[in-house]
Amino acid sequence: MFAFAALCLIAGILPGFFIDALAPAVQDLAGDRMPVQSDVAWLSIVPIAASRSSYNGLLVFVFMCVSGGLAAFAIHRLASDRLRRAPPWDCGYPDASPATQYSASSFAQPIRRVFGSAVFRAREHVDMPRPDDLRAARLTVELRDLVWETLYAPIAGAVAFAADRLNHLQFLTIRQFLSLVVAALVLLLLVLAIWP
Amino acid sequence: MAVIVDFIVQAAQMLLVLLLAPLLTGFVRKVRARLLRRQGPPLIQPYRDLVRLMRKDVVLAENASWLFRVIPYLIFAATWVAASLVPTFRTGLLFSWSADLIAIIALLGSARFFLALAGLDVGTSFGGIGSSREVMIASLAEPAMIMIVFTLALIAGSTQLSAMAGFLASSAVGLRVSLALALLALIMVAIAENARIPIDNPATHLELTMVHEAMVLEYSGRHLALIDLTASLKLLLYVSLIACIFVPWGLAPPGADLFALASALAAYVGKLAIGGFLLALFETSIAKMRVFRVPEFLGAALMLGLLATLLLFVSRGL
Repeated sequence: MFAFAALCLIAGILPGFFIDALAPAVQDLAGDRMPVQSDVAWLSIVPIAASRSSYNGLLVFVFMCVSGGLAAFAIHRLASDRLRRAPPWDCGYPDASPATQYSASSFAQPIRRVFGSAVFRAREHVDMPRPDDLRAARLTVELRDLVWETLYAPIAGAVAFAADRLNHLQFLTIRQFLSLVVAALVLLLLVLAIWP
Repeated sequence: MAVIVDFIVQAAQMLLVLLLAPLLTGFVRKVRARLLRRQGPPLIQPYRDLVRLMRKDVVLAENASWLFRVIPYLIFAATWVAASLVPTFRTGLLFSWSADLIAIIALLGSARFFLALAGLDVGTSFGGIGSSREVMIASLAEPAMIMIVFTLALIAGSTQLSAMAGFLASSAVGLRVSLALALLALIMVAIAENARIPIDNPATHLELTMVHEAMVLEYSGRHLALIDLTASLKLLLYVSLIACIFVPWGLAPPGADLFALASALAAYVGKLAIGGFLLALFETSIAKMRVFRVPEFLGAALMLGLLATLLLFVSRGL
């Protein structure tokens, strides 16, 4: 994984070589390609013309390293470099339980909430008992997969319907079955004969 | 000689944004306080806060990883580089060809990614809630920003900020509906990106509403100082960006003499002051939104950006 991460970083810093390496694939797919980028001075990329857009990942990277390093050096030398370790802020509950831990689904909750109502037609049902009722409150979220429902479910339904109807063929007597085969054969031969 | 002058101007630009950023934050706070008929802190209070925080010890959570300690420097560096690539008082900066507007947005996006990681690093619920909300806001603000860039690039024929500013300052532009829509969308995105009032309140620690402050709750000392400075730099960056694209008058061209540079600098400070005043006025006139109303606000920005791009596809004259 580190290798892939490092490759991503290198692709961002030196994009010209990667654009050139991908050029044959782009040529095949799109019929055209970007100008050769490895000839551009200073390892920068210029898709059309320098006045339109250009990018030099290496320079930006060096810029960031220098400014970050400079800030770290200046702060550590001129201000303070002392450090103390302490327990993190626990919101007043010192015994953390795994149930309260932040999980992947809690991280995605706001996004699910925002996009869920449109993409998954999510509906929340809240069952809040009256104050004198000791029943637990229930919060249920109902999600519908619209892509599945519009694209795949009709096809799956049609296949199931046809399979149901054709299932009868499995329970024919041997005479009926042979008649069916002969009829099918005649039909296919007729189709073949009539077909231009 | 010309290269040396260019280099000095670029260094001056880097230093200028760094030095002016806390002043802009202080100015916005002061104007807000005055509008509420309070005295408000002095203008240089953010500098004092930074110095005080820098001198303090860092109190680090026991389970914080090395990434948590590196991230303040990373996001500061990314934001500083992005801010120093926006033409503030002079176009055609020495390194402006190294990154266009899309690269600047990418730099800010990576800074946001690292800050969200820092929020999750210690494992407290506060950091997590901040990170997840920040990512939710980003999922809408970044597409809107890209739409704005498309609009501007279609009009100016370039994503290079210096070229854009030069084109928009010329008389070839005229009044365009798409530019008005892009400006509106950019202001909405800037408000959301800088955690300003209808989206987030930088002055509160109320857990139900906070986004940015929740992520940085575990930071202290010099790390917190860097994060505060980064937030100020980001505000300055967005005000400079709006000024450079939509109010490009007064920018000195490359090769300008010292007097032209000084007047351009004065114009830039004036633009910052007007931008800061308008921001404070807007913030005092509006109440904070609920977190789940934010997508509607940013969705409107995205739609405006999309509409502007579509208008340009229909007719380049719009």
